[in-house]
Amino acid sequence: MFFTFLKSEKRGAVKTVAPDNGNKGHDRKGGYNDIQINKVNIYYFGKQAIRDVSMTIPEKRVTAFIGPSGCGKSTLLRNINRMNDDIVGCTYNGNIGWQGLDILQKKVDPVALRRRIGMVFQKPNPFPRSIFDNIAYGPKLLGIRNKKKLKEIVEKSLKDAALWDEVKDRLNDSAMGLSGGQQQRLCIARALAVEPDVILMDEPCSALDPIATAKIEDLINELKKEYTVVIVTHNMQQAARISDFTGFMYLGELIEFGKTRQIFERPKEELTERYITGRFG
Amino acid sequence: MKAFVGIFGGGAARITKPPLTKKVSRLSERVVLSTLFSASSIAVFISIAILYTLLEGSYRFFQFDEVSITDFLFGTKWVPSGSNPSFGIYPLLSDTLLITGGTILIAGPIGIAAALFLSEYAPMRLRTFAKPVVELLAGIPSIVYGFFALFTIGPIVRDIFPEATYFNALQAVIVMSFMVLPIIVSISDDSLKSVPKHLREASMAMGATKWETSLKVVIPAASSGIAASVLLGIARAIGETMVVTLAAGSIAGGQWSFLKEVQPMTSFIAQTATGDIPPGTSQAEAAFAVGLMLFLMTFLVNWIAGRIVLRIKKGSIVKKEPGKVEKLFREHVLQKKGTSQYRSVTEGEQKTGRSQKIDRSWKFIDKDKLKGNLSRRKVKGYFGVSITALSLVLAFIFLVYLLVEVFISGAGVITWDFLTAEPGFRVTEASIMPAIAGSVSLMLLTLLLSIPLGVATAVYFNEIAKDTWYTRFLRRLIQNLSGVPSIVFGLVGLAIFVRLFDFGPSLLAGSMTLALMIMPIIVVASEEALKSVPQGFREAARGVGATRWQTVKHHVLPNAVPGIITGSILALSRAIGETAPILFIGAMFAKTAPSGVMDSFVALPLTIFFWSRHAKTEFHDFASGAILVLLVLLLTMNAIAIFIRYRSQKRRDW
Ligand SMILES: Nc1ncnc2c1ncn2[C@@H]1O[C@H](COP(=O)(O)OP(=O)(O)OP(=O)(O)O)[C@@H](O)[C@H]1O
Ligand SMILES: [Mg+2]
Repeated sequence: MFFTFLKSEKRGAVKTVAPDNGNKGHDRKGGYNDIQINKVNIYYFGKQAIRDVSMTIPEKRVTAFIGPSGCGKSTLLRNINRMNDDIVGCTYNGNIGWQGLDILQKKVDPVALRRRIGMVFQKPNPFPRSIFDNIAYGPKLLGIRNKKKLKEIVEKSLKDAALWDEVKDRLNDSAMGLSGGQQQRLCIARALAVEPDVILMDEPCSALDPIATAKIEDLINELKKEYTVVIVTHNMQQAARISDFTGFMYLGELIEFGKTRQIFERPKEELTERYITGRFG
Repeated sequence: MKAFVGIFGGGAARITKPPLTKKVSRLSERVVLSTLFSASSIAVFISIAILYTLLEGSYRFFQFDEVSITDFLFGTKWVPSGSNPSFGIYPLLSDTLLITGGTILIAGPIGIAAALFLSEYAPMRLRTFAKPVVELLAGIPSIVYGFFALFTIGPIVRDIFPEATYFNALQAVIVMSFMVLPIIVSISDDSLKSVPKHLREASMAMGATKWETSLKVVIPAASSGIAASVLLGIARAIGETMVVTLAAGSIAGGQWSFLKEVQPMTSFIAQTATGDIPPGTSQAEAAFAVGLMLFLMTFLVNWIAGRIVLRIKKGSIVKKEPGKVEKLFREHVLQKKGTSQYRSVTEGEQKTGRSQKIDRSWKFIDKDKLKGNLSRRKVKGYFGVSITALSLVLAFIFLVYLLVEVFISGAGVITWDFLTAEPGFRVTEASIMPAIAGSVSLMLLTLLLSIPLGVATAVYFNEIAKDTWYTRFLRRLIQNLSGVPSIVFGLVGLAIFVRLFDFGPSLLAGSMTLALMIMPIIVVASEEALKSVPQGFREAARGVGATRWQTVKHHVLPNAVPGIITGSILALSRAIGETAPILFIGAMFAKTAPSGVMDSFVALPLTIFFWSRHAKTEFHDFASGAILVLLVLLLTMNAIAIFIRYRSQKRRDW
């Protein structure tokens, strides 16, 4: 385990963990901080939405899920921090290994899990409170009461989310007064404030204009130096631009998983190729 | 390993977190969640209380020698007092049916017509004004309607029908029609509004006038909703107590005449509360058996209506097969002759299965005849729309007439002493000070008892509950409880709080009874408020690791508070206007304000009731003074509720 960890420190160098040996990605052994999804099935009211999906999402990389609408990208993503526990009628089996634990087990508390695996949603959803309170909310839940420390956390999170300069003079204004793009960066900052190890993003740019989108993409590029990022996107160029690994899903199954370049340049499955080239239907 | 992650993970102040397997949900979280769960079971308590009251009371009733179940169900004589009493429920039942039938015969057509006008023809501005005004009719306490029936409508009825007795069914029926009108209007209007636009367009595009479209397409498509509204109106009329008790008389005749004195079931139960009947006798206990009958009847009607509404909500009714409009249109609008020819042409086409060359010389519609026909159809339309508009106007006239009457006759008696002095026993010393004090204390105590429980129940249902058979069962119970007649709650208060819990006829017993009655209303209103909080707030909070209760406490409740307050005020205003539930508990007369929760009390509606039945006519004027005060109190509460809603809507930025 220690070994794996050291390897992941050698950023830039291609990791030996790259799934070159199988396009489905489940043959590869993952490291301690990699998210090892193993034979996961997810159902809504008994109807299967995710079928036998396995893949290893490497640490401190950006992994994108692509696929046509309704194929189950969000469903799979939401299972990684167990948001699906809150959905009426949603059940699942299989396992997801992370930090030496199967995080789908009952004994893992979803609330504790979400403090380490944060999430950013499709529609920016700030709380109707001040910018400061939005970000301080998570740390406060963790028991941090010290004003000075909270201020530090808020500042750091906003800086990390590339929002600090725009809002530093109006931290006590309502977050609802921000633009859509700013709101989404605020939501990212809010997720960062509890210092998670993983950030899940479900189509974070789909409600934003191109300029705001570019800002978020830059931000994701920065984030991956410190965080594992998993992102769902409908925008193929976006997946190609920002992700290191890509999984293509179709009708609840993972069709192909691999390095983004490989998926986009030499897809192994015909279905993937047809989807990427837009000849789908 | 942890330490390494810490160093490389980045961040100014690395937060230490407990291991993943350690439960974050602390003891307090579990305590809160189970408290909420227990609160939601209040519905079970209320249901058990009702069933216990009615069954136990009926059991005691049937223990008497002079009573037998067969006589009760099938006997035709209702003579509850005297040396040779007879308890056959038929006269009460038939009087209930007479009153209910008469009410629905008037309220049904007027209500549906008014709803049609509101949903199809009224301009937007008129609609936004008219809907609240119609709903105002529902906010007026039934004791006020009873007073109006006896002293204003009564003389008019006796003018027109000299053979009518002083108490008669007709005056009650007229007033009750306007009482149940809001139910019919608002539910019919909802279902008419929910008829998809494309159905209307399809019909209009075929050349139907707007009136024809309303009549032949929109109303049939909304028919189940309209039926449900009428059923709910029926249930309301069956359970209505104060109007019939005041205005319809106290002789159960079973004579099927609108001009004679009648006594429906509710009125009999109320009569046992007014002290004329010695307690412990078969006559007094009969109230429970009649209450059981009443409960079963309203439950059945409400249950059927509820099923229909549920089906509409699921959308299985409005969804129509595509050919439906054409079919309706052909059947009703096109002339019979033309229709059949038209049909045979299309059918011929379908049979051959290939498109024929269109032959335009082939005419079956006589254009000249059609022109005359069209203008006749248009006139019919104008006529029809005018009638629907008139129905709405009628409701307005009634409302204005009632308010003006009350204000004029009430304003005359109101003096400072009338409002604040300690009342004496002489006519000149009448005062409503104890009643005002009683009503306000009742309201405050009811608020304390009902709102925490009601809101907790709503939070449990909306935020915490999984969809299990038990929660579904609870929801159904609460829906059904809101349709239980208020006089039944009066019996429950008597049997459970006064007798079983031994609180006596106290303020506490009265408030608890009212709290039970308005609990379902508060639950429903609070759930609405909770539902209006965007799902995103919950997801966001859960996403950064808030527990269930933290999410509710920090993000859901604060944003739902204005809505909850508004709904609760409206429910409370319902409670303080009610007479029937506290009829068994409240006192007839008191000199002072109640000084503790175990004190006896009088309340405004009770005072109005007793004064209206007073032999001295001066007291009738005092009653209208008390009505004026009650209405002002209710209007103030409503205004506050509306103000809170308005301000929160203006303020909120989501
Ligand atoms: N709460 C739910 N209840 C029932 N079925 C659901 C629920 N959420 C999603 N589904 C179903 O599960 C399947 C996968 O949905 P999901 O939202 O994961 O797709 P997606 O790939 O994210 O689609 P999109 O790109 O449109 O967001 C769909 O068929 C959807 O209808
Ligand atoms: Mg999705």
